[in-house]
Amino acid sequence: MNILNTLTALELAEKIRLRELTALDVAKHTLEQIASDPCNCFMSPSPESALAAAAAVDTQLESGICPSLLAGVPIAIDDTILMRQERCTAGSRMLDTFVSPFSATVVDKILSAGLVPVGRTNTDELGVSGSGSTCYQGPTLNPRHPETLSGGAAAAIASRLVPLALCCDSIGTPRKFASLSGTVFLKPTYGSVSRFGIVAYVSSAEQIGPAAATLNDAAALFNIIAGHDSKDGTSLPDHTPLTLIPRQDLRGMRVGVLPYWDTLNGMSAGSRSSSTERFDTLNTTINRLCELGADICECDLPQLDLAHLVLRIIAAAEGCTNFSRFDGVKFGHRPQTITSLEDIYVGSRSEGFGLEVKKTILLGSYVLAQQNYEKYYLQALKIRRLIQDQLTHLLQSFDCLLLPASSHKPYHPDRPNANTRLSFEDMRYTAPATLAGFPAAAAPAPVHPQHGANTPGIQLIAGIHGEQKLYDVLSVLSANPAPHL
Amino acid sequence: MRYELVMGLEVHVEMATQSKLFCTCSAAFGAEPNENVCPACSGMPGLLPVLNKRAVELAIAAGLVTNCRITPRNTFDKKNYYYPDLPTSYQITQFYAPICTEGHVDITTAGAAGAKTGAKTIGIKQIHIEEDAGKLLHDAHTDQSLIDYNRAGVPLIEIVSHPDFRSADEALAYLEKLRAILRYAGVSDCKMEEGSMRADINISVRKPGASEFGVRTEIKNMNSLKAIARAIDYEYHRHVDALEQGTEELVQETRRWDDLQNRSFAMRTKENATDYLYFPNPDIAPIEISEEWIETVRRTLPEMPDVKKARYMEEYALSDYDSTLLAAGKDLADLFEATHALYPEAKEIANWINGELLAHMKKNSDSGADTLRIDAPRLAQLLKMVGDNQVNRLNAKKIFAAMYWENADPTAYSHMHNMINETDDTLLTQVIRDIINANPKSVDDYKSGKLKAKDFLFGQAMRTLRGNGDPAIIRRLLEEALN
Repeated sequence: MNILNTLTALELAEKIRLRELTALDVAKHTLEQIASDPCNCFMSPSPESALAAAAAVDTQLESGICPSLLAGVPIAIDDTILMRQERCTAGSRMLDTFVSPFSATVVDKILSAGLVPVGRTNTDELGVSGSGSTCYQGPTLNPRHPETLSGGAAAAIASRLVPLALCCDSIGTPRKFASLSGTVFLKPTYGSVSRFGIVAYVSSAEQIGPAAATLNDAAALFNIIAGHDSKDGTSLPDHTPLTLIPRQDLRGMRVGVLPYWDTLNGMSAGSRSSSTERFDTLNTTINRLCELGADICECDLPQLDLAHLVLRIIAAAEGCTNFSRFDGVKFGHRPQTITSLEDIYVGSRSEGFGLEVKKTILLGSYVLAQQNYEKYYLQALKIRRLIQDQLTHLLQSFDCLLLPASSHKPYHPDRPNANTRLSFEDMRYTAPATLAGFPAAAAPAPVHPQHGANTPGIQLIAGIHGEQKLYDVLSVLSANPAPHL
Repeated sequence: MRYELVMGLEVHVEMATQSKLFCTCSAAFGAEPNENVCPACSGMPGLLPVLNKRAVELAIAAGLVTNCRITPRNTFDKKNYYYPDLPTSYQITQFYAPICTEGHVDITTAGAAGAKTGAKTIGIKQIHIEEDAGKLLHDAHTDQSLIDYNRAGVPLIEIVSHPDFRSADEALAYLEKLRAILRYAGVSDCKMEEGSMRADINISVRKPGASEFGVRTEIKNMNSLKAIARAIDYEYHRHVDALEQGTEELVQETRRWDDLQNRSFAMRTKENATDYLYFPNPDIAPIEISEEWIETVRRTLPEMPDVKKARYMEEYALSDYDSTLLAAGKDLADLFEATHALYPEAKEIANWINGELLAHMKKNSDSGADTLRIDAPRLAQLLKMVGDNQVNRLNAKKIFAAMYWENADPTAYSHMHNMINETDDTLLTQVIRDIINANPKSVDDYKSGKLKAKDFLFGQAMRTLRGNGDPAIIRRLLEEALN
C-alpha cells in the first residue's frame, strides 16, 4: 500500500471513487501508519470512529452517492478542534479527561463530505506558544529535521501519515510549520470558516484552515469547510467556492513584496544562515514570479515592525479570558485535595496549565487591568486598525503580497526560553494577515539550487475573500517548479 | 432632618424572552435544576455566543418607555471574575456602549406620614444588556455546594439611575413605576419574589445644601420592597450615627442586607474590589440599531400608564384615584377595559377592581402570588347580576371571593348557594306582612317616631329571606306597609 503515501488527497479520492481502493482499506492503512508515528504527530488516534466513517463512505459510494471530491480520504484533526465523543485536550493537562459532547462545525462538514477523521494531532498547549514544544504529551518533531520541532498537523502531512489535516491558525503557527516542513497551509479570511467548536484562544483572529501536501488538496478541503454558520456570530455569508483550475501564467497579476529585508538582515549573527536562506528563497520566488509574467513591486507597510507586538498583546488579552472557563469547577483538571473554593481555582490552574499558558494569562490580565487598558490594549487595537487599513490600501494595488512565513530558524526540544523568544520573533511574518483577518497561504517556494529540498516556504496574503488569488499565484508557481538558472 | 439622604438605584430586570441571551435554552423560571442548560450556557470550550435579537428588542422597548436615547452601534464586553455560578468566568455585558442612555422616569410619591408628596423626575443614566449568572445551592446534609445553571445566560437589563433619590418613598415609588411600565412594555414580568427584578441601592448622606456626596455604600441584590424600605432606613441611620456620634468610620463598600436580623453587613471594601478586566468580546459582532428598528419596536408598545390614566379620566369620567390604580398595572387596566366592553359601567367596574380585587390580591400576595385570577367575562357577569338586582351587594362580595379563590362561576355559584334575590312581589309582601304581625311593638315604636325601629324590621325581613333580597325593594315594601 506504499502507493498511498505518494498519492495526493484528490488522487486518492478518485481511486476510492472508482472503487480501485476502499475507504476502509485506506483508513486501516492510515491507522497502522499512525500507530508507528516517530514524530509524535498524533495525540490520540480515533480508530473506531475512523473505521465507522470509512465503512459509511464505502456504502455510499457503492450505492452511487459521492458526497464530495475528497470522499474517503483520511484526515487528521488538530486537538484544539472539538469532535463529539472524542477526547479533546487542546494539548493541555487541564483537559486531559475532557470528552466533547459536540462537534465543531468543520468536523460536521468534513464528515458529511465523506472524509475520514483518523486521529487528533498534537498542538501547543491551547495554541499558545507556537514552538511545537508545549503540548503536555510531549513535543512534535519535524520529519524533515527530526532534531527540530514542528506542529502536529504539518508533521503528519510531511511524514505522509495523512494527506490532509485541519488545524487552527491563531497566531500563525500552522503557516510557520508548513513553511518549515515543506507543506501547504491556508489561513482563510476571518469569518469564512466557522469557529464553532474551537478551544478558543484569539477569538478575533483565529481561523481553521486546511493543511495538505499540495495546493489543490488544500483548496479542495477549503471548499468543504468554508461557508456561513449561524452558530458563529462572526461568520460571514457564503462565498463563491475556489475554482481549482491552475492558470497558465501570471500575466496581469500584481504581487507586492513586503519589506522584510531589514528584519532579516538585522538578525543576530547566529541566525545569519537561515536569514540568507530566506533571502535567497524570496529572491528566487520573485524571479520566478517575474518570469511567469507577474508584475512585482516592493511596497511599504509602516507598522510592520509592530505587528507581532500588537498580536502578542491582543492574543494574551483574549486568551486570558478564553481560558478563564478552565477553573476546575465544571470540568477539567482538579487537584487531589480541596478544602476551599480557592483550592479548586488555584490548584486546578496551577497544575492544569503549563508555563507558556500561565505567562499568557498573566500578560493578558496585565494589559487589560484598568490602569493599563488604554496604554496597552487600546493602543494595540489602534495599531491593529492601522495595519488593517494599510494592508487594505496595498491590496487595492496588488492582487497579493509576498513575504516569508517564518525566519526559518529551527525550534529545538529542551530549549524552552530560546523557543519562546524565537516564536515571538517569528510572529513578525504571520501577524499582519492574522491581525487584518485576511487570507494567507504558506506553501513551498520554487526550489532553490543551493537549498534543494530544504528550501524554506513562502507566504502570500490577499484581501478579504482573496483565496482564489492566492490559489492562482501559487498554482502557477507549483505547476512550474523548475528554477530558471 | 439634619442629613439629607442621597441614593441611586441599579435595577436588574430579567427580560421576558423565550430563550437565553446567547443560546437557545429556555429562559423559563422554575425548571428542575440544570434542566435548561446546554454546552453554551454551562461554559464548555468551543461554544460561541449568538445574540438573541428579541432581547435587544425588549431592551430597546425598555429604553423607549424610560425616555432614553438608543445607542446606534452596540457592542458587548466581557466582565471577568471567578465565581462558580459564572460558567465561563466572565459575564457578557455592555460596559463600553450601553444600549440606552440618558432617560428619565416620572414618579409620584404617595406621601405617607409626613413625607413630602408630589411629582418628581428620576434621571436614568443608562440601561445595558447583560447575562444572568447561575445559582449556588448549599446542601447542609452533605456539606456540598451545588450549582444550578438554569439562570445562567438569562437576559437581563440593568437600569442605572442617577443619584436622584432623597427618600425611601421615592425609591419605592420609582420601583413600582418601573415595574408598571416594564410590564406594560412586555419587557419583563418584574416578579421580585422570583428574582426577575432586583435592586442594588447606593446610599450616602450629606448636610442639606452640600454639593459633595458623602461616603457611598452599596447594598446588593434586594428583592422585596419592604426589605428595601427597611434597608434604606437602617443605612441612613447607620451613616448619620457614624457622622454624628462617630460610631464607626464610613468606608466605600458593598454590603449585604439581612432581613431577619434587620441590619446590613459589610461584604467587601473598595480596596478589595475586583478589577473586572473589561474588554470588548470579539465573539459578538457589533449590533447596529437603525431608526426603522426603533420605530418598529415603538409601534408595538401599548399605551403607557400615565397616558392611560389621563384617558380613563377623560373617556370614562373616572376619578384621579380610580384611574391611577387601574392604570398602574397593565393586567388591571386590561381587565377593566375588557370588562367594560361587556358591561359598560365604568365606575362600577373600577369600584370592584380597585376595591374587592385589590383587597384579595393583597391578601394573596403574602403567599407569593400576584396574578389576577379574575377574568372579564365572569366579572361582567357578576356586575350585570348586581345591576339587574339578581343578587345584592353583600352576596355579590361573597360570590366575588369565590370567583377569586375557588375560580367559581358567578351564576352557578349564586344558584348553588341560594344567593339569588327573591323578586316575587306577592311573596315579598307576604313576608313583610308576617314580620309586621309578629313585631307589633316595633311597629308601635316606629309609629311613635322611633324611626330606628324600621331598621330592625328590615333586618328581620332580610333574615327571613336568608339575605336574598334587594334592599331597596324591601325598604320600599316595608315603608308602604307601615304607612
